[in-house]
Amino acid sequence: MGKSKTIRLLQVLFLFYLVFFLFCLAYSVFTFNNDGGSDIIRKFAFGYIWRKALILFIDYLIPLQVSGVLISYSLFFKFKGKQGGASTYLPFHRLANPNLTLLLILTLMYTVLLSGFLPFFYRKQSEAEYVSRVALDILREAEIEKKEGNTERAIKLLEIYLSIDKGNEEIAWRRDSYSVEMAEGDRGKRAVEAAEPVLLSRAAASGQSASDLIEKAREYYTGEDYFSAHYYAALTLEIATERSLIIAARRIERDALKELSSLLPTGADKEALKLFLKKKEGFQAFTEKRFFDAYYIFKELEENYPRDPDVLMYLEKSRETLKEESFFIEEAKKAVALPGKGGILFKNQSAGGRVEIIAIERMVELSGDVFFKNVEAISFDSSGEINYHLHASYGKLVNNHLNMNAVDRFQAGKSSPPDYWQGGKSDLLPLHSIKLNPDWELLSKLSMDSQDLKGWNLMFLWQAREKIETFGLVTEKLDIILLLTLLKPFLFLILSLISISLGWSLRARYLARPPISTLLFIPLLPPVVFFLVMVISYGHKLLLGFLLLSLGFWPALITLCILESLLLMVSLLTLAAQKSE
Amino acid sequence: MKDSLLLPVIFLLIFLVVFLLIAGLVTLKSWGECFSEGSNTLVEAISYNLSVRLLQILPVSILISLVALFIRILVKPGSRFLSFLLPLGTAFAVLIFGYYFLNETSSSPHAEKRAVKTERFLLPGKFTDLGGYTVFAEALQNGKAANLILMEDGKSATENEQKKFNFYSRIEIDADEQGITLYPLNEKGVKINARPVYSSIFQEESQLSSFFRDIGLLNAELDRQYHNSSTGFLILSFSLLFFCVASSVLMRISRWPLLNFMIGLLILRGMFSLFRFLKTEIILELKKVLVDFPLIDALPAMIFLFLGLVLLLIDLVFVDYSFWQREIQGG
Repeated sequence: MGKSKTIRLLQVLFLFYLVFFLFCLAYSVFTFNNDGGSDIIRKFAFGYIWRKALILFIDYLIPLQVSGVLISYSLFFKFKGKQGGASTYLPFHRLANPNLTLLLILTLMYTVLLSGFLPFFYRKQSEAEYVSRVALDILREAEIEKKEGNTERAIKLLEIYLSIDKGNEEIAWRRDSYSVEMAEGDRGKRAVEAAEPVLLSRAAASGQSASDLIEKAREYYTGEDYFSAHYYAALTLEIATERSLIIAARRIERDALKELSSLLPTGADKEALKLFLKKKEGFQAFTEKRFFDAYYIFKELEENYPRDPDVLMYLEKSRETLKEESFFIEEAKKAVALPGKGGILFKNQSAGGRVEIIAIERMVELSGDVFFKNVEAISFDSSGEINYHLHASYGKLVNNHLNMNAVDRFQAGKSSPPDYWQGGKSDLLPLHSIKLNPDWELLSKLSMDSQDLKGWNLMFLWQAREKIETFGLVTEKLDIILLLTLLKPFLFLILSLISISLGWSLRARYLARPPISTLLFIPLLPPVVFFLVMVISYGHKLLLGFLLLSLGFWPALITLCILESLLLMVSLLTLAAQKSE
Repeated sequence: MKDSLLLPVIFLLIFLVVFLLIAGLVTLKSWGECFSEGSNTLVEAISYNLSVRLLQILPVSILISLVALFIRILVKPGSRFLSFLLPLGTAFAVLIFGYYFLNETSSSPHAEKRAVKTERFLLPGKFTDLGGYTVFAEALQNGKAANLILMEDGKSATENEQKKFNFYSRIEIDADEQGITLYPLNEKGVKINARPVYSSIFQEESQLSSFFRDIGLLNAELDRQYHNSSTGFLILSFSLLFFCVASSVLMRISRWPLLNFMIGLLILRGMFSLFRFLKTEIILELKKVLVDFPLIDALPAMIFLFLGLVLLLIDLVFVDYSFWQREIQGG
């Protein structure tokens, strides 16, 4: 009998869910064009509509569930059956008890939907919107380029578009027709391929042979300048092809490192010790190819020891190396067309009391590389003096530095530095790079874009709230979202239990099945229940907001747990207090 | 009979609970919005305009209490005549005297305009979102900010466009209830309509906003009538309460108690929507046709009165008064 009661409740709930989901789907379809759907490319349109329907469904699941339970217990849970020609009623506990387990399972499912699937759907929606926007921008740009006669550029842009909207035959056809058109034109203009930048190694660029470099390394090693010896040995290794040279370079490199590790300045000169250790740290950074770190270490050393030859040499070498730390605009452009995190804004506390404010429109991770779109940064000191104010269309994360030194593949490796509105000659930005305090994982959490926040799951919110405060963001706004997300499963269960009691006490006492005319009024119930749930949630929000601001996150969380436990107890008591017929 | 005589007392008890509960929640909201101004101003901020805030929740508290009282009347109906008249009379008295008392308190000479601190809208060292702008100020003191950056939301800095960040090393800021005005040196002031920095924590869902807006509209009309015409105020108050009490018939309209209960709640919500519809849609349209017609402002009151009478008629003629005994208690 218990099983049949559970099935009956499930049937009613399932019917409710199904009807409401179909309603959401119909709503999503009919409002697609009015709701920004025209800006969604065809590839994403189908998924976009489905996800919108699912988002609506999950968002309104509490009032829907409450309505379903209310109606079940007020209309469909009465008769045990006919006994001796007369209808008899079941005791209430036999109607309610089997469904408690079902409600618990549904609450668990709701929690998974709320904290896992809902943010995922929001994220996917926001990604579809963003990628569509970028794709349409690329298409528009391609049209402009074509009109201006830059067919090759237009083809490249169409290829980027097709990498997003794969299988779009119309665009593929357009690209092919442009290609044919171009092939028929002046073939001599195909020199663009030759414009591919060829990045030479540092040694080759300086015009020295491997044997020259190994000679230098030997000289420095004999002269006990192990820093320089190591450097030249490393350069030799970059270009040497002869086995004997490679072996010699490796040996010098290893021996120089060994000497440096064992070497300690003699005497009690603390200053010398400090200099040596710092130089060693910079040298280590250099050998580990952490050139930004090396640059900063030697830059700091240069201020205190402006005549130290090692410091000057390695500072120069770090600077030269960093010049080559660039990336192709095309590569970045392609990457930022992919889904990522948007609206990043944070305070980047730098040395000497300077404050940097950095805004990044988009951050995308692609095959281990992290690219940025539309970066604006301003740095000022406490006196109000602006150190620099710049904008870069693209950036790349290199050794936790925001590198904005882009190279245009189409213009023979021409560098495209950021646009400096103020302080372009500032020495604070070696080669257009800013040292970032947050690591890249944290960077993606430094956004207060309300649309983006909806895409954060519980774990993400939890991790972010602990760290974002130092970067100038208001933690309480995240805290309240976290608390309200935790509240919802409680509300789901408590209101479902109360609905059993309320539905039962306000049940129809018909002798037969309810008339069809009554069933016509059922759609009236969910909106009223929805309104009630909104009021209850808002009451909770006000209370939690007060506790959060006055006492902090943890007391608010503990109070939430206690309050909901009490309400759960009350709802169970209301169940226990129900009378059977 | 005894049950009916007890109704005013029960109504007053319910009203007290509802009124205090709503007042508490409203105070929490006001508290949160002033929280960033500091503890000294907090008590001042809560007590400031308290009577006005109470005035705004008075009509809605009375209407909710009436709907709650209908449940009691259903369970213990008593005399039909008294169960209609006594709640109506008590609710009317509470509304009229409450309005009079709270208005007197709010117009006392102590109720001066309170200065709003900049900290209500900005937090030093933090990014704050102010309707369409994001602002970062490194330091704030006495209406002055150091190293302030003003960012226009949704604007992305590109080489051809303007900068997203506008930096001011020293700037004066004026704050009022509506927001802040920035006064950069040698530049025109920038007025930003903003909500307090923590207001989003206490922000209602958009679906509730429309309900609060409707309540606000009703309050504004009651307040306008109270100050312009006592008769108009009395008629509007009475018609609203009369309609509400008459609509108690809907709690007995069908043989499905849950549906009746939901209809009762729907009526409560619908009253405010109907009032807004009449006030903002119908009267505005009628005013175009019937210019200078003196009774046009009384139209919502008349309509509520008419609807109330219709419901009362339906109640007297068609609906069984002992619904609960028959349907629930099997009497």
